[in-house]
Amino acid sequence: MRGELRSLLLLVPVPLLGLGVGLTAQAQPDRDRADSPIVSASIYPEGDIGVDEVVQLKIEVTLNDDADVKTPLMDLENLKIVGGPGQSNQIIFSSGVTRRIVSFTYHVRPEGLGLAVLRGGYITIGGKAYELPEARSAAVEEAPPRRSARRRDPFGNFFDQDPLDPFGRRPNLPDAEPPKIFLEAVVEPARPWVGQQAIYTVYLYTDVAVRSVTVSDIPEFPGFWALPLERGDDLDQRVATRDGRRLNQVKLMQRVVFPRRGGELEIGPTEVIMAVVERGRSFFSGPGLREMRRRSNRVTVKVKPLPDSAPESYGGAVGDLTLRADIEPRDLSMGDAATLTLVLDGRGHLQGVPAPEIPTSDAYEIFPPQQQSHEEIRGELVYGTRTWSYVVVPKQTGAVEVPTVRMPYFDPRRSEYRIAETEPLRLAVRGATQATQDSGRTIELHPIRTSALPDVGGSARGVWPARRHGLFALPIAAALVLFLLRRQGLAPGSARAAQRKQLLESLSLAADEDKPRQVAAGIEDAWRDYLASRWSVPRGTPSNQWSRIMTTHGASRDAAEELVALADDLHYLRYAPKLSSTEEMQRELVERSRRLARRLG
Amino acid sequence: MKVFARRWRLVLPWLGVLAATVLVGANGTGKADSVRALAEANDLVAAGELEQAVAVYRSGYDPERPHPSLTYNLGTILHRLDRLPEAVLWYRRSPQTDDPWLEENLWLARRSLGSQQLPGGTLGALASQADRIALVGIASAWLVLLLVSLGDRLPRKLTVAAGLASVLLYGSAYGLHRWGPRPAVLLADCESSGVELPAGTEAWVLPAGDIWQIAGASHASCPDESIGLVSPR
Repeated sequence: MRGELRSLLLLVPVPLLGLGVGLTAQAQPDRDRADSPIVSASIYPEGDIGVDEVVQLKIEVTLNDDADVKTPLMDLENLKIVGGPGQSNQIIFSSGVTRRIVSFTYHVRPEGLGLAVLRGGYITIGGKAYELPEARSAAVEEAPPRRSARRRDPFGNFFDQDPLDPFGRRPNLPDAEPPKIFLEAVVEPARPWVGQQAIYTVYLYTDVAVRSVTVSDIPEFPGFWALPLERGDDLDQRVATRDGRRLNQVKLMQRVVFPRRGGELEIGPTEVIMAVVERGRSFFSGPGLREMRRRSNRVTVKVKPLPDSAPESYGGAVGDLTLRADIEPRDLSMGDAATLTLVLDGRGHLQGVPAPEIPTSDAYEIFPPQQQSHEEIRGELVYGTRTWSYVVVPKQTGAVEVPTVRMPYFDPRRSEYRIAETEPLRLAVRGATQATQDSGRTIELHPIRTSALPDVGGSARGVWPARRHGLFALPIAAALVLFLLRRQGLAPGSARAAQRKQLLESLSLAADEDKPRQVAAGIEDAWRDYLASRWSVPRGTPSNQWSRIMTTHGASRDAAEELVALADDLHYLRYAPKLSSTEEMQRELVERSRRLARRLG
Repeated sequence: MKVFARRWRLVLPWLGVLAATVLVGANGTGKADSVRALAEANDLVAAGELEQAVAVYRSGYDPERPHPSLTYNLGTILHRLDRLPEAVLWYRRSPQTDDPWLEENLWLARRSLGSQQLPGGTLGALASQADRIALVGIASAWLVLLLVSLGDRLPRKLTVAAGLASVLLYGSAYGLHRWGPRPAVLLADCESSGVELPAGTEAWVLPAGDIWQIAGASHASCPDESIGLVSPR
């Protein structure tokens, strides 16, 4: 136990206690011209020091930027570090220049008589190593008188008192309140459940300045699983009132403890050694340091046993927990193995929690797990992770399901048992149907496509899409319509259309003639040309024969008869005695001719 | 100018017919659903939910415009689940037959099944070419339209012959599709008239009331529930 104390030293730097004395007044080299960091080292008080005296060793770095300064590594001779380092950071503005002074203050004590030296070492500043300068002093049998010591103080000699009882013998201070300094240990919560996290805390109460504190004896924690709670640089310090006195309360040490059994469990005292600053008793005396030891009280913790209503498969897990499961690979061939990983995690101490029961199945074989644990402290809470890894070998192809895994645990906050459970997991097991040998090469089932192939836009084979009917029917229908229009001479470009067009043009020319006789002759000639080309009526055929020939070739009888009537009117206009006005008759004959041309096509 | 106008009078009806054809053929409504189902089902596969993935893939299947990745993936998942006859059916439903992954998976499934592919006879051979015959008929129809457009410069008999040929070709192809044998995969063992056909057998089938007659296997027929048509109507 003592052997590990060195590693458990808890040192409280003076500046953080806020009670330091102004001991930084060192002779400083001229830094105004310095662009690179300046490193200095000094031992205070200067000159000889007593062989039992605790003095300060100070490393100071002055720099012009915010480079990171690491804790120095020192080569000490005949000096032992008993406290520190306390680190301080000062920003100085002077003549428009900003400088930063970083200092590390150690409390050291000579190990014997003779030269006590800081031989050297180095300090890393902004990633670059700088050598430490030498600082030396001489250790003598008896410390020379100090200004801060009470030896020359007419009102008393504080250093001669028993360090373990500094306040018992102070006859020279009948009017002064004795300094109050003591430790108090507590466990919270005071009545935890078995397995529930509690915190053991040692507080220091003081009304005097304390330079450094070393935990010299840490109690056993019988019946507990204990874990140190690391502290940051910031001290948890506050003012508390005890017995009507205002005292500084400092949280010195903490342990996370988990009771392992029910009933009353006792935790022994914690002991610390402190370097206490003695104030001068008169206006003329300065401060000095004294070593003091203090012990805390014993603590009895009443641990509540877990309720009897534990589920059948309860394995002792306590906390606020969740259970997760994963299996990899999820897609495997018959004969291959997958790894099932179960992770129990949450707030609580999970070491020693047995593996959950995995439901058995004919679909797979499962082997005993490998297990591992991990603890992590976040704030003042312990978060545990317990992981079990099982080998799962499927015994059938296709879809294989690993069902829900359940793990009961006790939730101390709710004071009840609860069940953490996983989601079911599914494996896709390829059988021998999914891989085979062919001509010396293995052909395996290709996976699904996760990025879509371009849609080829085609139809399924054998499917008769509706648009196919359209592709066929529309050109056929269009051809049929065009064909019928051609037969009627309505389609553009057909021979009948050209004949009709020729007829209409000739009629227009005839209408433009001056004399009625010429108009009638022109219209008749136009019709004769048309009838010859369209209805195969010879040009010399008398008009009364037109109807017969036309109907023989398929023309409408009514239209043919009307044409004959038109021819008679044309003869009248052409050979009749002169009429006073024939313009109206000419227009009427031209219009009748156009209508007939459209009817006959 | 007159020549230009005359040409346009010839071209415009063609453009009209073409536009109408495109409008009739525009039916891409199922495509978005297929892609959505494909993505959703792929996620389910990644989560190991194969049976659910099968259902989602099926929901995204559009018989008229099957998505190549969807049919391939569905076949592959059924293959993984050792539902090989169904896997073969879905591989064959893919419109992209030159996909090497699909070809190898189909080959693997067929080999694992040890099943046979029954020939469909002359009708089956013709039915398998029905798509091509229909395309020739459609091309002939457009040729007829061209001939009619050219007017009286070509013999009318040639136009009429081309028209009749196109109708005959297209009608034959549609008749084969509608009433001819159809490719199918047997999803369950089928025994009929002393003929044993194992699940996974690929055959040509003809509808015969509530059952399907197997072309190439004399008098054999199978119930509707054991038949998976490669191209469902």
